[in-house]
Formats: sequence, structure tokens, C-alpha cells
Amino acid sequence: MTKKIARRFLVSLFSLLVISVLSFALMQLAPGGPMAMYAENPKITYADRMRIAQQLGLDKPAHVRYVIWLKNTVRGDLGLSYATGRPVAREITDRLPATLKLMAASFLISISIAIPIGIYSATHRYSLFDNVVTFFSFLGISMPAFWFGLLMLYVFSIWLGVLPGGGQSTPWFDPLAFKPMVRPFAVLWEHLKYMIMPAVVLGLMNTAKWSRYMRSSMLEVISQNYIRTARAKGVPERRVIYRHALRNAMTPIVTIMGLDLPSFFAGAVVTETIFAWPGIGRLFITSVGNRDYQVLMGIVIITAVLVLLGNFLADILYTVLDPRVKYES
Amino acid sequence: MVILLALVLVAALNVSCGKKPATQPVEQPKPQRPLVWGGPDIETLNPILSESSYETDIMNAIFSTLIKVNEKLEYVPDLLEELPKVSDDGLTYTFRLRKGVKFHDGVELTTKDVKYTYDIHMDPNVTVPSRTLWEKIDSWNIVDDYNFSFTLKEYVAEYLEGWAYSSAIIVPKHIVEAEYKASGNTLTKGGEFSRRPIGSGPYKIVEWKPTEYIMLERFDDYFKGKPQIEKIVFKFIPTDDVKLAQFSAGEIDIMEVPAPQYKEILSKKQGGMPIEVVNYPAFIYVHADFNLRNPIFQDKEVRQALAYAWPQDQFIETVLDGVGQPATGFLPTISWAYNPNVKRYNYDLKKAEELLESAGWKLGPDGVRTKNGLRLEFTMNASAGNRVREAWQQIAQQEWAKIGVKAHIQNYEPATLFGDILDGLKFDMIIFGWVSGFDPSPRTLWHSSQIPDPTNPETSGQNYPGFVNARVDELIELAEKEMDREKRKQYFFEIQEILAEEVPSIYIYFFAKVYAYPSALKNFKPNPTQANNTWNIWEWELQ
Repeated sequence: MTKKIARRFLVSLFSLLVISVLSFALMQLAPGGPMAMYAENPKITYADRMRIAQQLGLDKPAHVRYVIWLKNTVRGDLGLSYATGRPVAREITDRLPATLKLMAASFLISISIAIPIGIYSATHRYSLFDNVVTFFSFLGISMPAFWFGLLMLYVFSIWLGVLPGGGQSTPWFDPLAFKPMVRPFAVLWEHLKYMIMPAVVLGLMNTAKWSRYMRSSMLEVISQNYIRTARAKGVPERRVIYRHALRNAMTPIVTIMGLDLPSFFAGAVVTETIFAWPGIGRLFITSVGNRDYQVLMGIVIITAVLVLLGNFLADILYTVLDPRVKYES
Repeated sequence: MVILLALVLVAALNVSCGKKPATQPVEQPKPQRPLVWGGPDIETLNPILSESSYETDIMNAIFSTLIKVNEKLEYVPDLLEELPKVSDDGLTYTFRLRKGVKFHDGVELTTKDVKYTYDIHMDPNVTVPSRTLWEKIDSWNIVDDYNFSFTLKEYVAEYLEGWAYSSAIIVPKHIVEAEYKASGNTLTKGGEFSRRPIGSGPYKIVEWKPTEYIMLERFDDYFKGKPQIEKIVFKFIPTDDVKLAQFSAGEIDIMEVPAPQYKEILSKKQGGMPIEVVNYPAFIYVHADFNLRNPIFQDKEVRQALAYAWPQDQFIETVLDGVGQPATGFLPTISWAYNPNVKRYNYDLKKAEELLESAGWKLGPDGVRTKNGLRLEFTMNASAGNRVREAWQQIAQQEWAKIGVKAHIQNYEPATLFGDILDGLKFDMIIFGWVSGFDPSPRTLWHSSQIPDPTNPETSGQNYPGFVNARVDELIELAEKEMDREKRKQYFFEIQEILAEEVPSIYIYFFAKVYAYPSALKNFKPNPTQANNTWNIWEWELQ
């Protein structure tokens, strides 16, 4: 087992190296560069730009810059952002909490909607509810997040005016301005009101998808012989569904959720831009615009590590959870 | 899996207060609400390293300059007792600082801070975006804590202008020097002075939440008196749609309105509060540059024909909602050197066709004109997503097709457009904007010494079309040496006439900046120069 884990770990490391080479190369292939932001300013002469490029180390050829980057990264130093001059690690850690908060919230929303809906649809197949849910699931899967986001903004911020049109917090929010009785609710609402729309939008796609998976997984399990046996023994239907069927139906869903983790990062790029959410996604978009290679590489690597780690742990845990799955020796 | 569990836990902690919130949003008490400005994100507040105009808006509140340019384009003293005295030869400028000007930490601002500001900008270790202003100075004479003068290497017309902008903000020596030494004799945008700067301006920084907002609080000891508005927040908003949503919802009070949304804003009331929409002329103009190295653009008649063959007035009326001025050259009508009598290209398809015919461009069987085997077909480039410029391209494309010219549209995001297409001179025609200065000299744009060559790093300048005209070179040089404004005006008039005749670029329109703000805000006077919108922020009042 230890040997398998070690081998799996080495493969992950190799993937990481390949990812970093590919990402770095792709960024170099993209036209423009970090110096483009100075080109539109008539006061900054060509000589000025040459001087700045040299000070940023951009005058060296790409492969040399990659080796420098790799050496520093292995030592745990992701370098400095070209745009802000701050350490890339700080730029990322400053924004990571916001993104994790958003991801966690949308994950929770997705699970708490998708699972019950999936179960109910499966146990009431072809009922009116099932058909309505099927309709909305496909709508949810096909609707682009940016469009749904703008729609939400229009309805809840502009039209109804109940939710703020973006951001993460109210700059002048002061809990002490509220009576002690309502203070906890005020604080809670202050946090929730900014999170509701982006979390729903970010979770939309997965909610729709997961409810479909849950439904079919459940249907498959229900038709198994042991369920029939349980029913024949006279086990109450509730117990059959939640005790015998659900646990087995959940196993593939949990795997899918693990594999969908990267989609939260990808979705965050769009959602955070629409709702002015100060997370990694927005940092990514800004850095693409600035061709801030340092920050982009930092985000790519950290995301890749998280995803690979997720898959790695999922694989290991899978063998622990399901005795039928074994690494062949 | 573990990550998933961790995420769920984090979420659970976040919502650990358990119960669902009260269904009604809890109303916040109104009076404490600061004035909120919505704009794009920024990178630094260190004036030595900054090069973006949005940073200028915030730095104007935190720092002071020696002089300012007011909304009528006049110089007014800021840190000075009076405007500087200039010697007869125009080389020596003598200044007298106000006494008792305090930085936010209580230290007095004196001549040593002014001199240090110069020194740090000239320091080779510091990534200063532009040294144009500072390089002109030959020698300094510091008399005492309040009196100083400097002498220029040679006469520079309108030299004072640069001293009114954020690039000439006076920085506190005691703070910046300490950071410079601590970070190994340099300054970076990541330094403390970039993030929590100390200045002598009307507002001091309270909080900077990255990608969220910056909160400023008034500085009670400001040398022009305590400002009336207590707190001002600059909120960072990534897209125009969100900006509009937040404005409509009353979450931001002031914003620059993108031209196509002008009428939409006019029809809106912000959270029930009455708003004003103002429209200021600006020095920014949008133009379509010809690449004169392309053989099809060699004939002046082709360039003139294209200039005739698009409806300028209709474009401004429909695409810009009437916000903006027709451009006849590189100067706006508010400039003292603006020449109102240059050749104008009013929409005239017939004239355009005649010009092309006379130059020998004959209609081919597929409706595209040719001459000596060359087809009148080319590509226009602009920033993708800029709705106004895209609309212009489409109009021009359709109109030019009517006179036998085939134009393709290929747009790129800004980093590619400016970093690759423009810099590499890979365009036939490129559409973008320039900010023209307070001083009208178009040296970097139209002098033949300013033609960049991507293969030769020794070259510099922004004469991207590659325009060469001996008379224009001569006039630019004459105007730069002349001290008499009337004579300079004559030189600039002639330059504008030549450019209008030669059409090295089609002038599309002059920007008007449109702002929406609450009616209760008084003394909000955006400035057409690089002094920007907040140049007089200490005078702002909320009634």
C-alpha cells in the first residue's frame, strides 16, 4: 500500500511539472506582454519601457525565466507580481478566504438542493414534480453563468433592491450601531446578503447536474435485488430508501463531487467578476489582462496542487471506503 | 475528499450562528454612510510608481502638489504661497512654500521633501514610469525650509503643467527614504508606502481591502482647513454592468458613466435620491491611424476619401448619445491652440468617390477598387469589447463598402492590441485613444524623429503611422522654443492645417466625460486635464 501511495505521489508531482511547463509556454505564446499597459501612455517613452522591462527581469529569454521561476517556486517563493510588486503568495492568500467562503457556500447550497431533489425524483419517477425538476435541471445546465448572474443582479438589486449588487462587505458596517438584541442577525445578514447571489450562481450548474446524477444513481440502486429483498421483508419504505438505498447511491455522487472541484475554481472566474467578489477568480482575470505571468503561474500551480491533491486523496480514500476497489498488485 | 470535508466545515463555521436570518433585511442607520465612488481596481498609491489615472483620483485626496490646474485650465497654487516666478529667459523657476503644511503623521512639509521627490524620481534603481518632467532640471537652489528655485537645461514650453499632476506629488522624505533603504535601495509597488501612504492631502487612508475598496478619512490638520465630508470610499468594480447595478441600487454615489449608458442613467433615480449627470469636455480623442508604410495608403486621396466617407455627426448622435465632440485634429475646442478653420471632412460619399477616381483607383468586378494590382482592402484593429469603437468600425465598414473599399474588422483585448499589434506595427489601420496634453505640442505623435521601429531599440516615440513631413517637424521645433503664446498659436494652427490636409489618421471624436453623482454633492468639478476628477476634493461638500 505504501508503495502504491508513493508511486501515485510521484505521478502527481510529474503532472504538476508538466502543468507548469505547459502553462508557462502558453502564456508566452499569448500575444502582448506585461509591458503593454505602458504602451498607451504617451508620457512613457520606449526607452522608459525598456528600462522597466529590464528591472522586472523581462528582458531574459522565456526558458531562462522558466528555470528561475521553477527554482524559486521549489523553494516556496512564487515571486513578485509585475503589476503590484507584492509577493504573489500574499496576493493569493489575501483573496483565498473570499473564494473558499464562496465555494463552500455554493457547495452547501448545491448539495442541499440537489440530493433531496434527486431522491424525490427517483422515488416519484415521471410524476409532475419529476418532470418539472427535469425541465429546470436542463435549464440550469444550459444557462450560461454570466447571463444568469446578470439576470439575478437585475431582479434582486435593481428591480427589487433587496440584495447588494456586488462586493463582499459594507465598508461602513458597524455592528455597534444595532441594538444588542438584533446585532447577531445584523452581522449574519451583513455576511449573507453579499454571498447569496454569487453562491447560487456558482452552484447553479452543479446543482442541476448533481440532481440528475443523484436521480439516476438512486434509480439504479432501487432496482437492485437487495432492495427488493428488503421490501419483501416488509422493511418500511422510508427505511429502505434512506438506510439501504441512499448510502449505496451516494458513493458515485461523492466521487463526482470530488471531480467537480475544479469547476468551482473555473466558475469562480466568471462569478467573481460579475459580482465584484474579491477572490482568486477576479485576481486571475485582472492578471490575464495585465499579462502578470507571475500571478497567473502562482494561481495555476496552487489550483493544480489542490486539484491533484483532491484526486489523490479521493483515490486513496476510495480504496478504504469501498473494499471492492483495490490497486492491483 | 478531505478538502471537501474541510470546505463543508468552513461553510458550517461561517453559518454557525445557526438560525436563518430574519427575513427582513436589517436597515442600517443612514447618517454614517460615507460618499462612495465606484471605479476600477488599482495597483499602487505610491505616486512615484503609479501610472494610472484611476490611481490619480485617489492620490489627489491623499497628497498635495506644488500647483494645480483648475477646471478653467488656469494654474493655481497648492502647496505654494503664490505661483512660481519665472525668469525672463524662462529657465529659472522660484518657489515659496506655505508654512505649517503637515503630513498626516504631523511632520512639517519643507523644501527637503521637494528636493527628495526630485532625487527619488531620478534614482536609477527605482522603476519610475516617466522621468520627462524631472530630466529637464539642471540645478537646484534650496534657500531655506520654504524657499527654493531650480533652473532648466533648456526652455520648455508649459513646463509647469507637469507639476500640477500626480506624477509631481511631493512625498514625505522621512517616510520614503526609510522604506527605500529598508528595501535595499529601491521602491516597489508592494511596499508600505504603496499600500498605506502618508501624504499632506485632505484625506488619509484608513483601510485598503484588496480588490474591494479603499476607505479615506478626512485629515483634520489639512493646510486648507478641515474638509466637510468625513469619509470617502473608493469601491473597485470590475465591469460596467455591475457599476450600473450598484449605482441604481444606491450602493455607489459617483461614477463615470460609459457613453452608451448615458440616457439609461438619466432616466434613473438613485435609491430615490436625486442625481445629477454632468458632461465635461476631455482631452481624450479617439482616432484611426493609417499605417503609412502600407502601399494602399500612399495616396493622400485614399486617406481623404475614407475621412469623407463616414457620417461623423450621426455617429456622435446615435452611438454616443450626443455625448462627445467631432474631432478636427488632435486638440479639443477648449484648448487655446485649437484651430477652428482647418479642412473638415463632412460626410460626402460622392466627393470620396471622385477622389478615389482621380487618384486612379478603379472599381473592379467584385466592387473593390484596384490600382496597379493593389486592392483597396485592409483590416482595422481596435480593443475588443469597446462598444463605441466597435460601432464606429461597423459604420465605417458599411460606408466604405459603398465607395468600393473593403475593410475587415479584427479586434483584440488591450494587452494584445497595444503590446503586439501597435508596438509591432502589425496594423493597416488601428483605432485607439490618445490623451492630448495641456501643452499642445504634438512632438511625440507627429515629429518624424518619433517613429518607432520594433527592430531597433534605440528608437522611441508614438508616431506609429510613420508620418514624415519636414514642415511639421520644423513647426514643432519652432513652437517648442518660442515663449510668446500668440506666436506659438500660429505654429500650432499651421500644424493642424497640414495634418487635416494630409490625414495620417482619421480623427473620430473627442471624449466627453460623463459623471453621475448625487445632487447633494457640491463643488464636484471634474477636470479635463490629467488633474482628473478629484483635484479639488477638499472643497467637496454634502448638503
